[in-house]
Amino acid sequence: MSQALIHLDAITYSWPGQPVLLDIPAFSLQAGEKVFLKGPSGSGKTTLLGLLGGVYLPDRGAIQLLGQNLARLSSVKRDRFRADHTGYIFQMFNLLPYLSVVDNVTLPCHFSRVRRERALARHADLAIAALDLLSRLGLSEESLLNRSVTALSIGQQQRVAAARALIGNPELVIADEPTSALDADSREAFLRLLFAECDLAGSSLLFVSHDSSLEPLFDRALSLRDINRAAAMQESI
Amino acid sequence: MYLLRLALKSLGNRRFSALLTIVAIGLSVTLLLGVEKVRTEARASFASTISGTDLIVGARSGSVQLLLYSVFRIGNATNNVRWESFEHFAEHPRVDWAIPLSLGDSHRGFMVLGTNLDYFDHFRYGRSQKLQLRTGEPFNDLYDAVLGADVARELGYRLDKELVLAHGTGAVSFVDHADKPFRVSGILEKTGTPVDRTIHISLEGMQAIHVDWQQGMPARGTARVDAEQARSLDLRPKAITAMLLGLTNRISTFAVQRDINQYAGEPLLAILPGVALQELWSLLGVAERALFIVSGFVVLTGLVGMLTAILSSLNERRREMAILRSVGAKPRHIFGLLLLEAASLALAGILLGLGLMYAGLWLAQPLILSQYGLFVPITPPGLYEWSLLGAILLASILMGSVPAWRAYRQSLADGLSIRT
Repeated sequence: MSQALIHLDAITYSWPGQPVLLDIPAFSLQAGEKVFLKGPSGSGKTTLLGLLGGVYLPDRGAIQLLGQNLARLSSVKRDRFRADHTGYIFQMFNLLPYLSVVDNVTLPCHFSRVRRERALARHADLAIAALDLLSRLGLSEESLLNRSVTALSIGQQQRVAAARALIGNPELVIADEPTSALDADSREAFLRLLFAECDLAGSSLLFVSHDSSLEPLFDRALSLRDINRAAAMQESI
Repeated sequence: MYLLRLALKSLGNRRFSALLTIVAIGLSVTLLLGVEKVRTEARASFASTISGTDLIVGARSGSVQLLLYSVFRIGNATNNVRWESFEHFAEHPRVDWAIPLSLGDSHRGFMVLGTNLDYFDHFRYGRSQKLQLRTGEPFNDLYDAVLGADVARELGYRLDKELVLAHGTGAVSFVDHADKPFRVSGILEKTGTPVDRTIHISLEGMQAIHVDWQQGMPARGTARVDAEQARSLDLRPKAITAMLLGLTNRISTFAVQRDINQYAGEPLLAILPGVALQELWSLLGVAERALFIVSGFVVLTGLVGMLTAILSSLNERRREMAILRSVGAKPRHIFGLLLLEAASLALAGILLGLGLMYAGLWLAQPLILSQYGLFVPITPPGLYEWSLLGAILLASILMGSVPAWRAYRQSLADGLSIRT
């Protein structure tokens, strides 16, 4: 059980004053696995990501990340744990508009010593680590790198966001609909690059999306509706 | 350090509103520092209106009133001092020098002061500075007048200009001394004190223009005495308005003061100029404090403007906060980020304010000197100014903690979800 990167054990969660939103008897993600989790909006997807990030704690049950029960950690330690072990890619506008491309990528290294040290283990400095990642994600032109991040295309922005999630080799990368703003061709190209980099960094990938056309590319695909008993109950009503 | 860099870059991203905030704070700081500067300088200049004089003596009234009419030429004496009393105290063994002051006439709104040559030897102002003649010499002739710097400048008078004194102290007078005109014999250097707005003549001259007056009205017909006839008369004054005394030894000030206050000849009042100045300033102090409070509130307004700017930016910055949280920023980092933002804005505002204040001072210094006779020196901020600025910075940090706390709560609630 402790080999699993993520292990959810009989968790429930509800927002104050609202019916139970999540009731997941069991879910686990093995190290190195790339899992597709299908969930339409309103299905509790964002809340689940908040739970995995240790931002919220479940009402019942345990969330184990790398064998660590998040509920046992203080909120400060959960924040540090998230920073050290998880990279995030959001739907769009992932980047801080006032930082350069490279500064956006190295951002996690300023909040997590673990990730800074891992990034520096292979590269002379953080900027070089960022440039290396960016070039492998197909962003190596100098003109691109000097541009304001808001002047980049959505596809380019998402690749910068991927580089930021991957810097310092976190064990887990969580992607929340990162491709929804991309066209079909770019989606697949983006995913292949992301997979390659996850493999290289040794990171597992939890990919959340409502777009099931991408499912076949993953090791495993699940639907949030299938693992969440609360959703099944709501539907039956 | 990294947080500060982030805060500055984030501010740079909103540079227009940040700049406006800085300008608002800067202007309010300029106002506060400027008011403080003028306040302290005005106070110092006020205290230096008279120096070196140990006692001011006049008819018995209030000490502030005596100070006002004898030194500031404001208001009137309730009563005169007999010439015998002046002679009595001028010869007092502990008195070094005595200057008689006789007021009551004017020329185009400027006060005329009858005195003697001791005035030019012993009167001191500022840091024991003596009166200096810019041109000409003290009065020699009966009908000579020495002008203060402002009188000469405002009326455009030069040496040998003839002037007719008016009876009474109003700006417009219906009775004048046209039969005995005076001649400008000298013009004094600028002092920044009421001396600049005074026309000095001899006591005998003062007596001469009133020699044929009866019951406060000029004589008519044959009773008139013309200017040349007056020279042959006994022009010893009968009374003066006040006198300034310098003592041989300052230790005896209180003893002499007691002698004067208990003088049997007539009721007199002797005051210590420093004490009376303090008393007068404490009256003016109310206005002065009001000015300080008003400029304090202007600074507060500037800081509230900053608070508004940061608070209203918070909602559109939820995405920024969520991104920061997702890359590992703790809620306390978000708090610190906003606090640093407020502190940076305030610091920039303070520096701008200092710059504006000194630039303004540099530009206005000659103007203030010529218009108000107030020399405002350009000196680096003193301990008082620094503590004022420190208080502003502290206040801005305290106020900055309001949006910081909101962002902290917000980022706890939003977590990693991006809400815009």
